[in-house]
Amino acid sequence: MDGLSLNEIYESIQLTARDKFDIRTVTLGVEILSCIGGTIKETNELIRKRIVALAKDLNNKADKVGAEYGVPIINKRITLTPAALILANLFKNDRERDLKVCLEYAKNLDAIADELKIDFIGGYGALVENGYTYADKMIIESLPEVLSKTNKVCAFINVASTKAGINMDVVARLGQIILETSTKSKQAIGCAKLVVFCNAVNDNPFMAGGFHGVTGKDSVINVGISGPGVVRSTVANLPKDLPLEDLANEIKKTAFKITRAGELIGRRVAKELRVKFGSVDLSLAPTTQVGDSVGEVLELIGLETVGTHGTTAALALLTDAVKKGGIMASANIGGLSGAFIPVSEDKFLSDSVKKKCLTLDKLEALTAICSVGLDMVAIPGSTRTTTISAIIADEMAIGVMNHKTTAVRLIPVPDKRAGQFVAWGGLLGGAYIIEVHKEKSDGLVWRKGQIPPPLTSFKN
Amino acid sequence: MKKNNDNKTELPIITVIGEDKPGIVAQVSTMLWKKNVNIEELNQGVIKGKFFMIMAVDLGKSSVSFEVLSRELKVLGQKIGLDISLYNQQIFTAMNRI
Repeated sequence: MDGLSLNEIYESIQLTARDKFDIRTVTLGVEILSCIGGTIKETNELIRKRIVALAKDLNNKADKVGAEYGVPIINKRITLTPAALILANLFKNDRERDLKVCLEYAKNLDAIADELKIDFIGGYGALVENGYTYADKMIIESLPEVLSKTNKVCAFINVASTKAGINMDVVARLGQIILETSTKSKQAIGCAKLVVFCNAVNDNPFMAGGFHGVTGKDSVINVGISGPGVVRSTVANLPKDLPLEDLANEIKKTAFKITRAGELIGRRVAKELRVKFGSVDLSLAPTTQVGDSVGEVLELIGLETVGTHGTTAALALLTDAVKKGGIMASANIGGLSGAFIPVSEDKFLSDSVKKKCLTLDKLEALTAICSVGLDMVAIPGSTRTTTISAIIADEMAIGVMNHKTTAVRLIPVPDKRAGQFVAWGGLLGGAYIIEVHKEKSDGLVWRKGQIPPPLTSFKN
Repeated sequence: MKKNNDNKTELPIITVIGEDKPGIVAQVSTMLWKKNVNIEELNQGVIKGKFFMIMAVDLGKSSVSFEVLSRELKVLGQKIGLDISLYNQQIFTAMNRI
């Protein structure tokens, strides 16, 4: 048995049984540039054929492999080449007609997701950090309709990068688009399927922001590992006065183990599907289940309530330790890799918002440290569109200046005020509406134009 | 999972966890014997007050597949009040060895 001890095997089994370790998602990335036909109908059919041929066994093979290794694979997803690149050739410069083409395209993806019984299909989006084409514009304009009339299609717009700066024309428009989407879908749920990015990555297996980058392979399996419960258990079982460098070391060891498991399982699923293996995204992704919270891990490090002073420091230690353990474990670490702080999906974060301890400003500070950004944050339905744009601009600025991925998934909930609760159920959980500043940011937003890239981006 | 595998580091592993009581080894090994599953290695002990046993097994000459054996071990476990599972050994090696 390779010298494996009883204790080692026992502890490995406990990670799934006791600590809810799972593979959060196995995501199949598919290039579909090769599916562009003469009409939208032809294109949709070619896309369906290509995806079904590759992914028809994704669900059952993933379940089979998960069972064999004793680690459940929770979600199976597909990411595609950004939609703007696929549809550009099918648009005719006729806004009404072209928006219908967008919806037809998205509905086809929704039907494919249903057919394959997968959770989400991502890639409905555009990369516009340097400016936008007509096709990009159509994708953005179609979002309220597409996100309210489909269930499984996930959208992203990359509006900023360290190299390009921030496209404030699009940021200004997105404030309006997000608000419009919120009024078109039940309890604004459409907004939960849209992520606005800075420095978006090509191999993100997580939704809603995942897409298959154009620099990648034909098709690829990327794996997203979770594990707040495993880290929680590690921290909870250590002495409360253990020095922080020792605590970091213990978290690293745990991250190492779960990354190794994730890579093994990802490679095996890829082999079963005859697809290349891409990368492991080691992100602590909380769920609404008790014991699966990043907020709780931070409190166990030594905070009365997550969101209080010291939270940024604790998150820095956690994110860094997770990354170091993961990088030691696998040569293929990619995606976002760090700790997610989706407020509605994490009970401790959500409760802290209720207590008014965790504020939007503190969340923003945390995003300079965590792997992504303002994620699943519910704000009042009466929030000004320019305020939404300004929140996005702040978050993008953090990403641009720090050479990191940041993202915004804001949900303005109609008829809800700060402090009220909104329940979406399922994976998305529920959240207390967080307060936003009442002072306007209109002047900044309506200047529009481009916030230039920072000096540190000129490295050539 | 390869069949007829001579490499013992590749053999599937059965784990048994539960309250210690007489006859556990006998019941599990009888079931394996009936399925022509060979026990290559066995180790047992008490961890955190619970009986814990691991067996490396060879399915090479067995009539059942990994999936079927896995299901039947679960059923046996429920019958005798123990948690019995079958794992691909690679998962433990990956997590515990550099």
